[in-house]
Amino acid sequence: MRRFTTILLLILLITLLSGASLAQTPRYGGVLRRSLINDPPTLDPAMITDTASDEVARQIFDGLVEYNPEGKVVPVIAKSWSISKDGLTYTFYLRDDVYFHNGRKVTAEDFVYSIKRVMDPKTASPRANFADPIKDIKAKSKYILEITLKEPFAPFLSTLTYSCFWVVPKEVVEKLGKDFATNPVGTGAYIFEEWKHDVKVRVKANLKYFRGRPYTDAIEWAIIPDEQVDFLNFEKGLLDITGIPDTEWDRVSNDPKYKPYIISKPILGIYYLGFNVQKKPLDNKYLRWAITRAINKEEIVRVIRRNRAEVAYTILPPNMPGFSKGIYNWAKENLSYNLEEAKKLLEKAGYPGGKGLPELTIFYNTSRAHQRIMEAIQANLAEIGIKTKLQNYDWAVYLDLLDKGELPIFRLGWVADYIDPDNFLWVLFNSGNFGEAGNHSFYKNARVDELTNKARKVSNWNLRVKYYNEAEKLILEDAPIVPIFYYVSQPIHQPWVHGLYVDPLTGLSGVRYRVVWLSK
Amino acid sequence: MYRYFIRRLIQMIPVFIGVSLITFALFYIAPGDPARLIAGQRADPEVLAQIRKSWGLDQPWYVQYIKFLGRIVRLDFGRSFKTNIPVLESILERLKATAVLALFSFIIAVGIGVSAGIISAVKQYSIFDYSAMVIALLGVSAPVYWIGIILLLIFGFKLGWFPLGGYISEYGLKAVVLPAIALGTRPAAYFARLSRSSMLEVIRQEYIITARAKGVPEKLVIFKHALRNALIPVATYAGMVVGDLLTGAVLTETIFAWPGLGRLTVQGILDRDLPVIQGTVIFIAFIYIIANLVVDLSYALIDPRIRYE
Repeated sequence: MRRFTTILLLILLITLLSGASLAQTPRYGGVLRRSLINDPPTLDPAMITDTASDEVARQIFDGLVEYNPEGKVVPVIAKSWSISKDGLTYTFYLRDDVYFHNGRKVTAEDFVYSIKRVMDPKTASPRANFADPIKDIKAKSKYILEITLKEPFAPFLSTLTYSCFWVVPKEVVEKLGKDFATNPVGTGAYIFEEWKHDVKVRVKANLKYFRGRPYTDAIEWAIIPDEQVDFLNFEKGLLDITGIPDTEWDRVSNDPKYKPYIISKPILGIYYLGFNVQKKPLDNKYLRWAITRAINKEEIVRVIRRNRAEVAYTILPPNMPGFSKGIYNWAKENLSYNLEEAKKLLEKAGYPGGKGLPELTIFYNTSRAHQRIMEAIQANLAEIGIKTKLQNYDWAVYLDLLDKGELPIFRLGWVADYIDPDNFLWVLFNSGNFGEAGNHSFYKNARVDELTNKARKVSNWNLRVKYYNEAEKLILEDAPIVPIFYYVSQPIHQPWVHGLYVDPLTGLSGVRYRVVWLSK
Repeated sequence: MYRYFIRRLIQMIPVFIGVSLITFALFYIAPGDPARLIAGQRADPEVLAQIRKSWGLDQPWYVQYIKFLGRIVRLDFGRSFKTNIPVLESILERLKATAVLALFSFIIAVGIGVSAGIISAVKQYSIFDYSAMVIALLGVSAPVYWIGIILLLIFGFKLGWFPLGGYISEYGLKAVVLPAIALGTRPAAYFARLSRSSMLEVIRQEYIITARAKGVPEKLVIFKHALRNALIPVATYAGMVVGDLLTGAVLTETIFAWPGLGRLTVQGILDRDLPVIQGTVIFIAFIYIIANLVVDLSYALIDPRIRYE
């Protein structure tokens, strides 16, 4: 009997192990079902600025380089590259086995065309500024591409991961004109198949893809504008991967059925309260500090965001290269919630107990989620005697007023376009970028300008980090913004979905689904 | 009748010009730059200038307006700033979805609403009357978002009888049932209340008493003598309902992921997408004018005393 039991246990163990290994062996086939909250506005890489378009187009197109799941720049169509000592010439050696979906081989000339197209004012690409550093681009041979810059620009390689630099076939773009946006042809792991506007977008596997065919036969995005309904579809098993609405978070994150399938990863983004430092009375540094120290961001993250974000103290998120733990600790010590300190600072600003300070207005773009956070900040400020009122506008009006510098206190978020401190510190705080160019605080500090300008031009990483650390500390001391939280991406997937990762830059919208496979 | 019809059609032209001019004016008065929205949160000023130039937004408003009128004559509404898709193509694509949803919602609204109202009037103070009017009150009061979510939870999620949102191209006619009920509930409730009060007013009139006194069977009294007159205010309201339904219902379309005109219009407004706004507003004006015309013409059918010459 004992022997029989042992054999039975062995059989059971072998079965379980083989089952487990089967589950871990990638399988080909199936349709990956995703959803988007809105119809992608465009699938033309030169025109993409939003996450919905980016997610779909990312499966159809490739560029010279891309980020791997760890955020490192890795080769795609470029096998390798070299950078001249003066940092001005980038030479890319391309693969010779890459084909567009129309069957034509990709050559260096295609990159010349694609990038010049973005630079051409006639294209009116909203991302033409990404090509600003480029002086010249030429094909040295069929598979060697040379890009010359106007002046050294250290983050250049990183910017080449952006969608506007993906390669497009000239003959198709010229034939279709503006309709290329709805009939895209690329080199990617998936081929565009069908788009029913406001209903669904479908791409099918590119079986001849140069990096090997993707695991799934197709991806289908249903356009589901309501996040509650979207999640009902997930719970019913009709979607494979999706986001979790805030209202469902407590239930879902505590449910053992779902918990193992939630991926939680910080992305390179920050939610902050900004000040127009040129507007009275916010030109008073001590007042800005007092506000900074009065805001209980730990409570905001815990109660309002249900811990679906990380409390922010610095401008650079912790997973950004160049992030300084020293600055983080300093900021946590000196700029975090402390009512007593806030009161002292308010007194130092010339407004003891808020006396003499006019009522301030906190602006935000219309959204229930932003409103709740602004209400919490309003209550925090009331505790030290600062009276505020809240005012919201729709995004179009809000941007207009922000650009004109008409909002003294405002909320904003920023998610990096490329993984480099330059995309935070130069974009948001260099005085050359006032208004629409990114510096909505109209913040000007000569030393910060000098450091952020220098850091773009030097190629030595350690030196760049030194510049950025100094600049960040100066900015935090001047307090043109109050970092509230770093964004965290928290998608959920079904048990039968494998190989899913979260893009370190943008979360789910930056994922290349060719590595995802289904065991169902 | 024919001349009246032609005259009404000609009257549409100044209405279109007025509507498009007001929309144009509002677009220019309201803050918000479409180029800025295309470019995103951070935008290079030179890039913004390029985008404005490519869409002709750098020209004076009157030049833009005259060009727009020139295009409209050729039935060219231009392309969306945001998506580059021809606006007319987008409108016609969404119109199919909106028309299907409108048709089913209208059938539900009129079928259930008018029948319930008439029965309630004929059987005034009965249990049916009280129940129908309480349900109608709930129908008028319940927000469409709430109705939609409840319908989806019960019939889509729990029972699995209908899809959890989506269009007929994916799920067939099953897909239209829940959104049509959600969208038709409120007009059905209004129809019920309106047709009840209208019917009550008519059946108290002397000619109905006379008909009954003459021994005309009750069914004939109700359906032949009373109903036609009671339907005149209902027809007026029906015209408005058809207009509302055909111009899109953004909430219902959002909950049920229905690719209708409402979502297109609202997204166009949020994006400051002038060609889409102009196209949809003119289209909406057209729908209302036609709906009103049909209602006016239907009066003549319902009440032979009304003549249009």
